[in-house]
Amino acid sequence: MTTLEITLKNGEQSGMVKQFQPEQTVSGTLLVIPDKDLKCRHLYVRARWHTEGRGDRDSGIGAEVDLFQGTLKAGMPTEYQFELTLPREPWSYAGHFINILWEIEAVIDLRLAKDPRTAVEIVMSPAQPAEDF
Amino acid sequence: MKVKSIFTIFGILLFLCTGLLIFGSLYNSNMQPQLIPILIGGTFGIILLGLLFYWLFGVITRRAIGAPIIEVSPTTLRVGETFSVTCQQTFKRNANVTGIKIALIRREIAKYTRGTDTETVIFNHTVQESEEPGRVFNAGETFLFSDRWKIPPDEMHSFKSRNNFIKWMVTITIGIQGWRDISKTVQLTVLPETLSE
Repeated sequence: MTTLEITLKNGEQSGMVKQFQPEQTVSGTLLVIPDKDLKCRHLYVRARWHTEGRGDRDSGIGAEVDLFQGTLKAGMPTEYQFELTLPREPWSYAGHFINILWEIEAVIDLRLAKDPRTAVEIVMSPAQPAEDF
Repeated sequence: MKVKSIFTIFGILLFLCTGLLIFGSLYNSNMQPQLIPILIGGTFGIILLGLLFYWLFGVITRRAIGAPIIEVSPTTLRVGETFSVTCQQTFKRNANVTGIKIALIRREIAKYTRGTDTETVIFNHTVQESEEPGRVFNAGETFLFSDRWKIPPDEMHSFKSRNNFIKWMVTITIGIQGWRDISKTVQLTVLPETLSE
């Protein structure tokens, strides 16, 4: 199984997750260790949001970078640096029927195969970081 | 504020009566089968008539008592920003007011599909409110409310996506004995910005 590991360098710790301000730049690294040779069409890192709750799920991509295109060699760990500038909205939100959640997602886009994926939840809000979000 | 329930009771009674009527008729073996469509059509007719009456009574109430005026300035706000709210109601005739409520509301609207149907659920969170006790207003008398309110600094901005919405509004609801509640709403736009920016 291909290993994908996101490490965020900045952001304020807010409980179990990192908090970022709207329009702030998220810096981090992505470690990729393929279990076999992968013909990677794109290696995307994205900041994306989605809704949870009673309503049908809505989602959107706030920022995206394409880190690599080509062959990822089996068993060879490679670390990629990335920077994503978050948009100004929507802010993270925990309501009664609606929750808005943000995450940093890494995806290896493969042809005719399931795309390996990982994600790290973040909070995007101008509010002071809470001890428990 | 005391909420008038005459129409709720009327609706429930109407529903129960028609339900009992249909059930009783179907249960009775002497029922002519060709009467069933007429009965169902009649039931829907009664319900439509009830809704029409309810709507019409609202229009009559506004005409008879007068419509409230709400002024909010500005209507486009940042999170943490204060704004002025002015509500005015001039009573055209004597009115026994059971209560007046002015509220700043954050409304969540969520749509979801169940089978081929789309359902909508709404949750109103009252962020701030002012309640005026009930009293008798004489014809020509004016109720006036004026204050400065604030979108709390830890609140959420307005949000719109395909199935989920967060809306902000100021509403005034006036309960009047013997009449339908009069209410009016002004929509606000809360920008994804904080006042300090």
